[in-house]
Amino acid sequence: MPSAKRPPNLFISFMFWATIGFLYLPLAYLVVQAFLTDPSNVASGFTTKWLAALLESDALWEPLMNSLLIGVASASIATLIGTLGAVGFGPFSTVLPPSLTALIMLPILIPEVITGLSLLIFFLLFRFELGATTVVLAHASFSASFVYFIMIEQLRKLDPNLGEAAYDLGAKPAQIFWKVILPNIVPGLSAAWLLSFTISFDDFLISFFTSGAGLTTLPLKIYSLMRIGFSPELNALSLVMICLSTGLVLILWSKEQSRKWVISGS
Amino acid sequence: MYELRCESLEKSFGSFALQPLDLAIQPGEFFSLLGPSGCGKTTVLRLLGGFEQPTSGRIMLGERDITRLPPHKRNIHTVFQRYALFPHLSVFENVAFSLRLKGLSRPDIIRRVDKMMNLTEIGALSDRRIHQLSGGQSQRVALARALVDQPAVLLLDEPFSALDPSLRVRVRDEMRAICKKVGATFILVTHDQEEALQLSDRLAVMKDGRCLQVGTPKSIYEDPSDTFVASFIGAVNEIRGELSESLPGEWSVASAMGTFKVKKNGLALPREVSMLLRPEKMRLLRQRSNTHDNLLEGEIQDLTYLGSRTEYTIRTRDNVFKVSEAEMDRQKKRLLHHRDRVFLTWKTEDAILLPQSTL
Repeated sequence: MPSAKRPPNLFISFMFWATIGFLYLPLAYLVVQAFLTDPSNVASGFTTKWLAALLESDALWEPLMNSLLIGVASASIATLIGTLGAVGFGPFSTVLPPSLTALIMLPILIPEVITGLSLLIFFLLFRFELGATTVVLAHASFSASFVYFIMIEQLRKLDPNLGEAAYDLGAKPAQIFWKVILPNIVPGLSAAWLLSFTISFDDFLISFFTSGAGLTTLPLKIYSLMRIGFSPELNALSLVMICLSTGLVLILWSKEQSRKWVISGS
Repeated sequence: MYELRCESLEKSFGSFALQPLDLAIQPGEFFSLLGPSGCGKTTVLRLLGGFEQPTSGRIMLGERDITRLPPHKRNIHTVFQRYALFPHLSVFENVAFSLRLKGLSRPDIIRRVDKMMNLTEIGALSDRRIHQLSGGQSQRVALARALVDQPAVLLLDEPFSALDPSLRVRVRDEMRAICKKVGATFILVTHDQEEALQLSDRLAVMKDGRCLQVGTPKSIYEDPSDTFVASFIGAVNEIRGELSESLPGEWSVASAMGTFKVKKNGLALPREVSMLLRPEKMRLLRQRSNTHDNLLEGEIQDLTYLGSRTEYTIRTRDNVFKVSEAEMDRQKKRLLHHRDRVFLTWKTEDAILLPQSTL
C-alpha cells in the first residue's frame, strides 16, 4: 500500500521556505550584485564587466591559487595522518584507551584563536619561517582530528572481522590494508579530504596567525580588501566560488546517486 | 583428514579463564561448542582459528602441532558471525580471494571457484555485489570462500545469529547438506541448543570456562552430567529430595511432594539429589490410578495447543510442572480444560538422577 499523500500543511510549508530563504537569500543577493553595473543600485542594469575585471586582476588570482594549493596540500596530509590514526587505533585495534580519543577531539573544541596563537608561538620557538609551509602544517594538524573521526565512523560500518577474515584466508598485513580495508573506506576518504580542504580553504584565523608577512590566502585577501573599501570585484569572486562549491557538491551527489543505483538495480 | 585435538588448552584474560580443555574431534565430524554467552566457547574457537594464543596447552591437527601457527598456515578456516565478506568484491572474487593470494593460475582459480560455487548453490550469484545478497546467500558465500582452498577444519562462529529467525531452520538444513558433501571437519559455536542438536554429530556443553559434558546429542539430552546441562538442553522439571535404599536394590527419593521410586544408575550419588523429568516424559491422568508408581496431584494452570503436541503447566501443591503431551488421543484431550484436576505420572526409568547443584 502506497502511503496516502497528506494535504500540505501551510505552516510547515511556510517554515520550510522561510528557512531556505534565510539560508540562501544573502547568497542570491551576492550573485545578483556581481552582475549589477552599480552594486549599490539594483536598478542600474546588468553587466559582466566585474567578472572580466576579476579575470584580469592579479590581486585576487594569486591569493586564490595560494588557497587552493594550501588546501590541497593540507587536506592530503590531514587525510593521511587522520586515516592512519583511525586504522591504527580504530575498531580494528584495541590499543587506544578511550581517554586518548578525547585527546584527539580536543583540537576541534579548543577555540581557533587559541589554536592559531599556540601554533604561531610554536613555529617561532622552533624558528620556522612563516609562510605556505607553516599554514599547510597548521591546517593539517587541525583537520587531522576531523579526518580521524570521519574515518573511525567509516571503519565502524565495516564488519569487525573483515581484517581477520582476510588474514585467515592468507593475506599479509600490508595486503589486508591495500586489498581489503582501503577499497572499503574510499567514500570516507573522499569525504574527509573534501572536508579538510574546505576547512583549509575558508580558514581565516589560523592562516592569519601562521602565514607571516609574505603570504596571502583568499580569506585574508578578502578581509584586507574589505578594510579598504567595498569592491565589486569581490562580488564577482564570490560568484566564482559559489559556482565552484556548488559544482563540487553536485559532482559528489551525482556520484552517490549512481552508486546507489548500481546497488539497488540488480 | 586429520583429527583435531586440544591438549590441556588454557587461556586467561581479564577475569575470564578457560579451564584446561581436552577435546578430540574426529575427522569429518560435525562438532558443536554449546553454552551461554561468556562460557568460553568463542575463546576456544579463536584459539583453534589462530586469532588468540593459549596461555598453555597444545592444539594438534593430526600429528602436527599448530598451536603457534598463524591462522592461514593451519589448514583451518573460520566463518565469522557476520560473515565478514569483502563488500568491494563480487561474489566470485570473494570466493577466489584465498586462491588469488596463493598465486594460482587463472584457469585453476575459475575451475575451483566454479566448483565450490556450484556445491554451495551460489553459481547464479557469481557477479552479484555483497550488499545485493540475502542473509542465507551471504552465509553460503562465506562458506564457499572458506572452503575453496579445502581446509581440514572449518570453524563456524554463531553462523545463524545474523539471520532472520524464520529463515534459520531452512538455512540450517542447507548448511547440513553442504557439510555432508564437503567432508571436512566442522566446529560450530552456538548458544542455541536446538541448532546444536540438529546439526551436530557430537557436542560439548560449556559454562564459565569449563567443558561440562561431551557427547552425542542423544546422550547429552538423555544422560546429562549435571543439572545445568539438563536445563540448558531442553526444558526440565526438578524434584529435590533425599535418596535412600528402601529395600535392597530398590531406591526411592523422599521429597516434600512425596516419595518416588527411582532407578539408580551406576553413578555414586550423594544423599541430596535432584530428580529431573523432561516434560515429554510425563503423562497426565484424569483419575488416580493404582497401576502407576509415581503420582502427583495438580491442577491445569495453563495449556497451549501446538498442533502436534499440547503443553500444559500443572500446579501441584508446592511446585509447578511443565508437561508436553503428543496429540494422540483426541477423545481424552477434549476432556482436559483449564483448572481441571489431573494426576501427573512418569515411568520410573525416565527420571534422571543427579547430585543437587549448588547454585
